[in-house]
Amino acid sequence: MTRPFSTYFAALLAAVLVAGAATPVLAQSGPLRITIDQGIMEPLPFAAPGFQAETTGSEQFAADIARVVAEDLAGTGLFRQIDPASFISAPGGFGDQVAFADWRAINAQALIKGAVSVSGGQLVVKFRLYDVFAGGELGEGMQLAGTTDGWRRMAHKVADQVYSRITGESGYFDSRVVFVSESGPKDNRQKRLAIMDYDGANLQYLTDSGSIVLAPRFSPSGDRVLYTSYESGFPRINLLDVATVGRREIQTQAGEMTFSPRFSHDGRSVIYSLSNGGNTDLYRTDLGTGQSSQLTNAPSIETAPSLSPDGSQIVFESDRSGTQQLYIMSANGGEPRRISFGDGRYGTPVWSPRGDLIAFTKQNQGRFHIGVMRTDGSEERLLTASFLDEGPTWSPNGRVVMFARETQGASGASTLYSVDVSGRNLKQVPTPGGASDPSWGPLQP
Amino acid sequence: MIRALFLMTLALPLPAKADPDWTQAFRAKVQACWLADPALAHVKVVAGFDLDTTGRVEGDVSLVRADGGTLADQARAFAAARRAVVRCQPYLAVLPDDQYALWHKVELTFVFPVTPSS
Repeated sequence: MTRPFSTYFAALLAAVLVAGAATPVLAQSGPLRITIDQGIMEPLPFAAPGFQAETTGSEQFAADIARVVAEDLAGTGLFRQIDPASFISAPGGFGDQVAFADWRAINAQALIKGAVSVSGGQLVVKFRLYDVFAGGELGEGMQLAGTTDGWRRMAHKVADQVYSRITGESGYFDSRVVFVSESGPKDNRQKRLAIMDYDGANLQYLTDSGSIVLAPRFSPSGDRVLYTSYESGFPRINLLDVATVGRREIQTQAGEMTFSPRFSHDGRSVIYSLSNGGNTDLYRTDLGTGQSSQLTNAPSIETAPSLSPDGSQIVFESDRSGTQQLYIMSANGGEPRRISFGDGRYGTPVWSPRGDLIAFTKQNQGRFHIGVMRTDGSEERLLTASFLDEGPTWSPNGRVVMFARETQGASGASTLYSVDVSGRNLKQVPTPGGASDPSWGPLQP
Repeated sequence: MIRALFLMTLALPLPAKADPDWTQAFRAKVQACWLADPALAHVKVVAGFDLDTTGRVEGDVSLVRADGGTLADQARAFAAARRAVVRCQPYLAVLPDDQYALWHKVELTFVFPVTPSS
């Protein structure tokens, strides 16, 4: 059978058009169009060839500060320190020209140079960050000054600057965590409040182990901590000043039990659960005036409130539907809307400091998970899975979630872990003994 | 009719075929510099820029369009995309220098990935 010419050319024309449609990105007249949908989480290689000791007596500080800066960055899982054994050029002095070709040759994307000097207990730290492939500085050089006993904080501040300049988001290294330190067997566990740097350094105990303490929560400025104490035999909310370690019970609405406190976004009031006659609702008390208001009024259990960063909304857990789920309502109360609809039970919601996500604990089919979801309940992602993971808290920049993980069995113990919001970089946070209920504070001034 | 169709086929510019290897290599190079924030899942930004003959960005990277998320999300997404483009230049090592016409103008669509549940 002979194919008519008109059919042949029509087919040819169609073929050409289809071919054109399949590769429109490559038409010579338009731009080259490419879609990139797999952003890597491969660590960015950086070189930190040690900080220069500029004065006698600053050698140890220079070495320690360079080490902490590198540990901070590498610990995020977003950066990888290049082995100094592979360096081609010597780092040179702080102000010396950088031989970028030598750093490019070992694929260093960033180069950190620093210098340290000490004079009479005063420490000065300088650093410069270079974008190796761009062949120039990334931001301007910076100098920090303080006392020698604050060397770790200065190292964290340098690392925060480097992190911020490279990623475009603020850092989280110069921050602290308050948590419940645990010791003793499971049936007679001693609990006391403790505070430490985000990486486990500089641990301090804030209370003794005379009574049970639970759920410490940092104020937005990091100067105070709310927690639940059983000192009176019943759970009561206490307020602790971090600097003086002075503490007092908060005068809340009268009730049999008050617990699960959290500061408002401005630090002026506390939202919490109050239990009376077997029913638990949410309340708010102004810390200045002592005035209280009831936020929910339901026969179910409402607890674990957490405010949005702008203070306009509250996320909390409730069993009003028959199972434990997450709800959002206005900060002044009103009709809540349910946001969790997956299988299992949801609890301990915490609003991200960025405002875009809510972290939570999920229990499903005998496993516990830490997860995150959008504030409308969409895009739920489970970041962890274990026998018992609970109580998430956000890093100040909303990049990392810290939580408590308990191991199974009579000798099981609780320890702190952190995980990137992507679910990567799961790692244990060093604490001297057992630890639970972490609350991550803000970046320090 | 036949003649018209024939002339049309002759008149159609044949799409210039780029070697998939170098477009893949180009994509891989930019990807290697892109810190894709999972908190921006479902945000899509298109970054446009010109490259000079050495594979370096000429002028600045511009936001062609953005979809999904809030305006703040889109701004953060574009900033991350721009950093990736600038950080990974020059691109001449992965681009064919004899086909400059194909890559002197570029539009990269960055689709922020959704991390699957673990």
